[in-house]
Amino acid sequence: MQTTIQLTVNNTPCEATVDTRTLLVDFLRDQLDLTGTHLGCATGNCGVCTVVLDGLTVKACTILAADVAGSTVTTIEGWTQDTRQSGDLHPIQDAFVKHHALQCGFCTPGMVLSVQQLLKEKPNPTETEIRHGIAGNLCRCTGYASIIRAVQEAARGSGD
Amino acid sequence: MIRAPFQLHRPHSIDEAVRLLSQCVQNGEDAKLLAGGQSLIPSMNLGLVAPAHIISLNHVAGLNSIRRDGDTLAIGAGVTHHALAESEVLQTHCPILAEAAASIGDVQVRNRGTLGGSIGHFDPAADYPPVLVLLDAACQIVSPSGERTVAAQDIFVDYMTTSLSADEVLTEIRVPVLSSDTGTAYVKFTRVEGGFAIVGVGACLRLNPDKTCRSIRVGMCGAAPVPVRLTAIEDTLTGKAVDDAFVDAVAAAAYESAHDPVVELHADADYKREMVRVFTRRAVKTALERAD
Repeated sequence: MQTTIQLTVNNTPCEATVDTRTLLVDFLRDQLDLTGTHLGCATGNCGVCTVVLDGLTVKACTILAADVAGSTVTTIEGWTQDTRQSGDLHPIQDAFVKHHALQCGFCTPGMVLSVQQLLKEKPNPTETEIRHGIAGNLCRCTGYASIIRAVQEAARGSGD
Repeated sequence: MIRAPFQLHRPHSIDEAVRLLSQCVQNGEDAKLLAGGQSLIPSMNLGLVAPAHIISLNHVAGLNSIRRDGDTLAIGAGVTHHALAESEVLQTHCPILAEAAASIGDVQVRNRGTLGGSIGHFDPAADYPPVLVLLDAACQIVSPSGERTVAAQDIFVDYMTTSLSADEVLTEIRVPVLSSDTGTAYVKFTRVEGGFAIVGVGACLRLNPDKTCRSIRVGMCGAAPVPVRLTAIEDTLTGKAVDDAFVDAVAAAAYESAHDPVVELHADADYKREMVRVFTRRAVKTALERAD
């Protein structure tokens, strides 16, 4: 069954025809070529498909694209739009680089979006709060210690 | 992409949702209600369920409110775990439900998953059912034949089975406003952060002016296929001093009641019963600390 949806992705209104079986993650990757959103477990565990839906992080493998018609979605590409244009990295990106908070990088887009939501809600998180904030994002390289250090640095360095 | 085809319906009102569901039932076609989808969509991704119809409740107005109505709180079935955990009304008047909500899954799951979805899905490890049962919560249900109210303890029938009929839609959950001197706690045991509860225990406690027990309610998940409420101790421990023997008595009752735990990969029956005892002790002690 095909259906036409209208939604806003990365500040751009878009209209698309999707199969109702299409997951939001598949829609973003396959129809919009936004491959920064990864697909891992497809069971809502690993968090590599994390995107921001109407202001809150969600796992895009647990959501039907056709069910978010009318919503606003921000992917990692949208979140880094400004920094890519200016050439400067966002403090979270800077901190991830500085603290080697990524190894293979597969979890990084989802991890960064979870971190931005955490810092928006808790600008000065404790280590425990950081651990809770990224609990929905698995890093199979187990680089958590570096990621936590990066979040701590990003929190110190940024107000947003 | 989900492999099995299905028809997606996006009703804008409860009446429309009920009508669509009822049509599917009458035609003998399998239909599932979709709320946050945190269990349903992964199950469909894995091919574990393949309903012919999905009726999304995400476009139905009026399912997302939390409001005080006299001495009860009326919570829409579509309220997310995140909204429950952050709700000031809930934190003030029924903090145990907010605490249970905050303990579910992870940030992204809480942002999307809903109270009604969790009740309807009824995983035996779910955190809400034991809390709703101990609170004497009531569920508002709509079907083509009208509305009915069902006590939470009559909703949870057996392993992943509720008393909701195929043509019924859960719309609202009502919990009591707890008096401000009530000490409450919900604690759970998981293998890793965000995992399903191996055991979850909720406790609500009030004290008399002389610091004896005025009332106690304890509910557990993991102890049996359905939530277990320790009704036997509610009378016998009222009026008793809240000392170590009191905590021991609750823990012992919890252990005895967990004679048929849901055995799983990470916990056999004996281990689970021991954990029921340990976590009941922790829940009661924490509730005691929080009671005035």
